[in-house]
Amino acid sequence: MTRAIRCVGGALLALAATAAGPQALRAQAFRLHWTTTAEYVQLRPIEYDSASGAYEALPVAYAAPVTQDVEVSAWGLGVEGLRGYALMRGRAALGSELVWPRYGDHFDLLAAYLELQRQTWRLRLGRQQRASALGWYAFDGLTAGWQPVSALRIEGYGGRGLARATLQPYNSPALLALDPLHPDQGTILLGAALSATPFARSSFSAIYQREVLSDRSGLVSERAAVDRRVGIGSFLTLSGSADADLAEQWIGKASVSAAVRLSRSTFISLEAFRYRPTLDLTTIWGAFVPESNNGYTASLQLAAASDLSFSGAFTYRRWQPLSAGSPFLVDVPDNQKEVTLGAHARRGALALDGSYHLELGYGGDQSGGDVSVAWAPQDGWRAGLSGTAFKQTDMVRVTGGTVFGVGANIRTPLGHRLGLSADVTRYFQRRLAGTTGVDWNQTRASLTFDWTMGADADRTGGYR
Amino acid sequence: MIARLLPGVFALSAMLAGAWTPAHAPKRATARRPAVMDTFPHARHEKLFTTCDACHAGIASGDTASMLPPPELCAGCHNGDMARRVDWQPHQWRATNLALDHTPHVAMFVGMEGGAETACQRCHARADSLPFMDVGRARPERCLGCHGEGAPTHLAQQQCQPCHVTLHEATGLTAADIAAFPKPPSHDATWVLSHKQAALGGTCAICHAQNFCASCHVNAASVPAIDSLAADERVASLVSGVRRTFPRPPSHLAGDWDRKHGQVARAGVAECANCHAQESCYGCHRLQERVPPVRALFSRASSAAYGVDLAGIRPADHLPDQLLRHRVTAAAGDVTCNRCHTQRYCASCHDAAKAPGFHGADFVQRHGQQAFAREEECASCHNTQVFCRDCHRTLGRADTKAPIGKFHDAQPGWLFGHGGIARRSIETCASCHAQNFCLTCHSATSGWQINPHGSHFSPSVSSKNKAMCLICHTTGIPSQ
Repeated sequence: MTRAIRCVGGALLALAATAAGPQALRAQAFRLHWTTTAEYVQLRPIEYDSASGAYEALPVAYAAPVTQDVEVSAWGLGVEGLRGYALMRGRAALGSELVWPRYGDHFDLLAAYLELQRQTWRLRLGRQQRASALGWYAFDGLTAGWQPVSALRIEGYGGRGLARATLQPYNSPALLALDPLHPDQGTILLGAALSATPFARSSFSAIYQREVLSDRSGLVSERAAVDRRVGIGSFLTLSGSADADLAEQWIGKASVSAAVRLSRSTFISLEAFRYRPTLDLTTIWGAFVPESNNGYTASLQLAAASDLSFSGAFTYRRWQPLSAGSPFLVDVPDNQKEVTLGAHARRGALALDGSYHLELGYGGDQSGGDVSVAWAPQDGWRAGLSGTAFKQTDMVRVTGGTVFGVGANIRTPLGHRLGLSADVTRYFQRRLAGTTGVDWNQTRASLTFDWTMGADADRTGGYR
Repeated sequence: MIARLLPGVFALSAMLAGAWTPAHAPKRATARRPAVMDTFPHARHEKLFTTCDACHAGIASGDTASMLPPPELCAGCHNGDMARRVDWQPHQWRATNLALDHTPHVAMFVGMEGGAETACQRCHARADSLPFMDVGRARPERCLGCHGEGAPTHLAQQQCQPCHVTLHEATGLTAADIAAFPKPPSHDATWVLSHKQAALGGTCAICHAQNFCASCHVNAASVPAIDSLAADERVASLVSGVRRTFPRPPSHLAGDWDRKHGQVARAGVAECANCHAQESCYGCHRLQERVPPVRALFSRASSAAYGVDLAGIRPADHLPDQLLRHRVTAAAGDVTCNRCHTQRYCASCHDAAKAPGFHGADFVQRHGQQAFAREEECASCHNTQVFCRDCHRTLGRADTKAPIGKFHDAQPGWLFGHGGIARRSIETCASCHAQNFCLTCHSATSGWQINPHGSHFSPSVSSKNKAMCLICHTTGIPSQ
């Protein structure tokens, strides 16, 4: 946390120094987005009772995590194309007996950088997050991008690596405390990427990334990925992607898919895929040679009318046969099937949604459905009721049961810059006969306040 | 005879039609009608009044004071002795947008066949064959004989002049009167898209003011047909704050419109500007792009039409499962996704911990199945050794001090059969177990010394990171 604060301080000092420079400041502006989310989550821990030799449910406990996100973008700092950007997250657990995951870590600096954008190139210095075909990586360093034409960008990036999905340096005390075998060194992340849209509805990207221990004594990961998407006419989109673990010398995830658009809102898509996890070479699991699964998905969305649509999908996954090598496992299949169905209807401001899903096979069986009805006019207001039910039988762990839930939700756009939303759901569990699962009767609620202030520098609508 | 009949004819016609032309009114002044319904039982007085001008003498002459009978005339009979008392007073006149001038009409009808006896009935008789004094308010359909130009109904006419004055001239009408105007049959669901040609004439001004058009047209100030209309405060009060819903033109319904609209816009935005403001485009285009056609549009102003709101329009290639399968598209994010999305949008899911909308409300209970089967790559957002284990320990699902395999109670032989499961779902194992736990059995130098490497293990990995191998092979890495 101390380091994070230092990073924020550094970024702010840099901003201040730039702003206070000798050049005349022109058109200073900023945009601040503030999101506060408070949740109330009831949970029921379990405990192993050595006397009975079984897991017993403990009384219901609750967690009340509060998340505070602040996004700031400031520009007009006296240098054309210079911008400061920061995305911060604060966490706290209000009066709860339980601590929600990571809520002992009260502050995260998700991103904080200075950006200098010119006609054909861009520099970013500071904490950055990079979403790519390799996943979501963060680092403290520099990204240099060159965009000779609007449809092509070439980038190189590098800096101090942060542990995946934590935003903590690899050798942070917090991570070292979790696992005594965790490396006590930091990492250096280097990468290069190319993105292009050679013609309409098509894209191509390639990325190479290497992460090494800061003393160069070993490799953490070395990965590459290629993605390609081609739109043929307005009705067919072909996609393909693959990533390779160059350190382990195997293919990770890969997929090919075709999506056919029969009308504006009616689609059919088919996808064949393969999944193999990527594991850093800093843990012993990197040498355990994880097995891949292969499968396919067929999905359909059908617009029966302008306000009535249906969707459905079927997914099949298959693993290498297990039974021959593991006679000790009971009824563990080598495949998994998944079916999802959905419907959406709207009449005026009234929206009705329903869905059903069924999973059978490896990992356990699960079936359930959700239904919601909402009054949702076009101006952003929404008030709705929801119901859910699911039943599951897990294959390799203590749990299982049938759960019903009823809830209500409301969203109030209090203006162009304010929003307030809340929801609450109560779940009721019926334990399946003969199972040793835990009670799961519990209540969950959340309240979100969203506020934007400052200039409308960017898009005023859309998915921001 | 004619002289005797005319005053009565005019008086009656004024009373029944509720229309009059004041003696000194401007030429384009509007006609008026009684503010209350005409309830006078004309037919019952047929034998008493043999001419209309006995009561409505002012109609033909335009004399306001004598258009309706004086109360004393009624009281002559309705005094409580001869007939029941009636306290009738002349009506207040209700404003209309009628341009009817009775004087020339009466003069014309008197000169036609039937003369003064039928002059009033030509407009005010309920039907052509009904007797004298069976009259009522003049119906617009009866005007069509001369003014209809072949139109089957009153509202089906192409021209509203000369019977009606423009809204600007109908100063006596209130906003409520204007709001209650009848809707012509031509103004059906397709009218919005096709009214341009009709708008070139002057008929629109009978019912509409500039403010009405400007409530839809973002570019109202630059459209001559709109600019030619007068502004009107009454209409302004009716359209103030109204957010219009814009129909999609046929061209916009084409499947490739999203892709091709740029080409159309580059050829000229005159048509686009009718419905779209600059801000309409910022749902997808960024301000910084400085797209010339976008910049050629009018900017949204509080005093003008809001225009089409395209915020949140879903691109055609964002299939229903886009949220789970956007990887290929996102891989070229800097030249595709960034056109609409900012980092905060991505972080709302990828920064974990605060993405209940992504997983669904009851995901906490259901996620085990998906994690085991690797339906999604949990590790892309969640560090399994931090995020997952944190919660699992809190809830008693990790480090439970239970005998090995007890948690995996559905598999009695778990200890001996877990290898296959671990290879399929190694990330899930790491969500509860630390490395030391695995080393209890899988260390090369202690414990049971069971080799965890699978059949596809490549010893060359030791050259990539010796420290990893030394965790188990504490005394040295075996030669290949």
